[in-house]
Amino acid sequence: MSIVATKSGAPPRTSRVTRPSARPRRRGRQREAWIGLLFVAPALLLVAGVVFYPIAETFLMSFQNVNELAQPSGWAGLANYTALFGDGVFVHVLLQTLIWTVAVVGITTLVSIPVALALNLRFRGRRIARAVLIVPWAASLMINALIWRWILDGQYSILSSVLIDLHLIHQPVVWLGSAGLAFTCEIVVGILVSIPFTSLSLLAGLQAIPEDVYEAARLDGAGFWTTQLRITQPLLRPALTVTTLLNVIYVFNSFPIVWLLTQGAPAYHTDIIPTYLYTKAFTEDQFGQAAAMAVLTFLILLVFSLVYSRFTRDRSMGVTR
Amino acid sequence: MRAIPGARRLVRPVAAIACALALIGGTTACGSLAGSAAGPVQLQFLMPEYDNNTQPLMQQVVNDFNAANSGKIQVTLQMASWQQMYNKLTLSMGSHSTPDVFGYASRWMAEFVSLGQLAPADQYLAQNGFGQEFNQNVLHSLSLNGKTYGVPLAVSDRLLYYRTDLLAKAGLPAPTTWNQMLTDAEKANEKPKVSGLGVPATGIEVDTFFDYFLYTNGGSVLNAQGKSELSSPQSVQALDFLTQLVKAGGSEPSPTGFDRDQITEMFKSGQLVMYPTGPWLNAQIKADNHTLQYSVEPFPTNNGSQQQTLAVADDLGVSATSSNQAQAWKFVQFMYQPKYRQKFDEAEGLLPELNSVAQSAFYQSADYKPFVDELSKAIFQPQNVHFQNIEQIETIAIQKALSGQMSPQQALAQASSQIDQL
Repeated sequence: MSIVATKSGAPPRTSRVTRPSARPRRRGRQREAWIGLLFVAPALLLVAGVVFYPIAETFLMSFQNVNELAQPSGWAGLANYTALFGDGVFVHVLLQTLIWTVAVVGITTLVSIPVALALNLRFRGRRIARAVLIVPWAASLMINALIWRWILDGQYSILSSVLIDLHLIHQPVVWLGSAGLAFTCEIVVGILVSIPFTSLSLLAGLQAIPEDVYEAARLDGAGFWTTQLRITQPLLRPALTVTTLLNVIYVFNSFPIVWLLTQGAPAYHTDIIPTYLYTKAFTEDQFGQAAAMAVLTFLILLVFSLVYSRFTRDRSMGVTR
Repeated sequence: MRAIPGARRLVRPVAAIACALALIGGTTACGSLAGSAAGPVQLQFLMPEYDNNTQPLMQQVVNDFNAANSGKIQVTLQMASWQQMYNKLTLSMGSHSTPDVFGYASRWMAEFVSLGQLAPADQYLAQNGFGQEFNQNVLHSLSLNGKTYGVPLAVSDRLLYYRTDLLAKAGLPAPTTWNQMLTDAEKANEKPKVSGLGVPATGIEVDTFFDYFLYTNGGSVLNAQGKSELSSPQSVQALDFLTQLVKAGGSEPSPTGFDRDQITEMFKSGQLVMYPTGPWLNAQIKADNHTLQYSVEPFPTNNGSQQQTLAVADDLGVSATSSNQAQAWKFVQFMYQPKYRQKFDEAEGLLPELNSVAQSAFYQSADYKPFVDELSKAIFQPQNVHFQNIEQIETIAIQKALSGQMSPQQALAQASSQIDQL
């Protein structure tokens, strides 16, 4: 707060015009704080009511007996959790969710890096290329999933008809008929809708890398791959870290694609946790178990986020030091 | 802040006024929601949507009723798709805002009754012989523990549709036994364009489809004590037959990739030889592909078993928590005048629940008479509090067997034990 360094003992020389007196300032700051709180209060109440209250309710519901009308009646301890693990379906669905997440996030990232690198180059039509990339992201996930539901339809698939015209197959493929093929198709759709967000985030990360670094590398005689591996990738790591974390959370919780394509059928074999949770709650009327599933999902993602942040924070600090 | 002299002094009073306004606004809004005491009795009517005709038809009935009772009773119509219906009803029940009159699937009846949400209809059915106007077999399907919980809203029974031209071409007769159906499915198909029997193994009513086979083999889903009969020999035999039929190529490829709407569409556009379903397919074929050559007959039996036609009903009930039950029943009786029901049943391709409508020329025509005749002896699905859940378990077992994950016997044994634990 001192404006000018002075000899010890002498009072600081400041301009009378610009420095308000000390006592009203302290009271003024407290008053400002209260007024600020008053203005923020409505928004805070809204968030507390719409976001935090349902989360707290769900947490409590997972320990209660809940009837078909979602009305809790009495405490059940860990009964919902043990029931969830009881029929073996939850473990399968969890495994399927892990496969889904790893496949979608992993392949999306691998594909998005070259796309981002390409979009970072200067070429004619770059703006159009970037705009085209944004279009699938601009259409909501539901719309994307619905379009793919019809592209992959058993009878009227446009994909089948193209393959038939190319004489690669002889009759329409029922893409969503068997569990393995359907799940693979869902993963491909997941990858395609995740590429825009990931590429653009990585592009932003690439554009933050200063040009001089590349110039220095060129002067030192670094070739393409050396530049890529030694300079671009390490400097891209912060952006990669953020997009991977966000993607894992989004993809793990992604409902529309699996629900609109197969609803988890046949027999839970294409289910992931969000769709299985929905089925458990609204088709099987087991709200207690569904709440337990929601709590477990939250814990899994929380642990992942903490471990991931700890792991990547150390690495990135190592780079800049 | 600094740029406007004296602005800081205004902030506190402005904030205080803003908060006060918000508080007043909030309480007024809450106050108006509490509702006015005077004026006509307000009734909420929640109707499930069958197709585009439903809303205009129902709105007409509501408008006529409101006109005939102006100043005394006012009905408001709300529509919801069948997919949303269960959730809408349960959520409204849980939040004590159930509509006064609502349509519901009969398989939910036991559950709603156990939760005390459906009002018994007996005293109103006894008035002026109202109850006698209905097909008694259908009306009986709404009774539970000696009380009747509403009136039938939409009834259908299921017969086998088959292509007369394709069977004639292959020199095969219309199937009256399972073995004949298997032969017809295998031999009369023209793969890959035309498949034999349409088998919908995903989406809704997968269990209903299996029940056609189950019932005509003398089996049932639950016994009189409410325990599962799905692992009985008749049931395993039925699922075995269906699985073998699919394996032998007698159905469309990969049945688990097709739901009821898709299979209906396929038969309508001539891509299937046979498919069992309700009377609405008649109207759809007439509208979209009237040159299709087909006929209907009761579902084939398994060599000597008794013929049992399956019927499904949707019902109309009055909420037990409504404070205007007498007025609600008055509306129901108005809605069930034959002129309105004739229009509704015809437009939606459903069967007549009123005897007078059943005798009309429309329902005695060749397209509908077979369905109407079966209605008086058809079997309705059992009433059980957990039926929604039981259907899901049955569907999973069928999907497991048809996709080859498990043998029919194992899948049904697993389903049986799950049902008994409910």
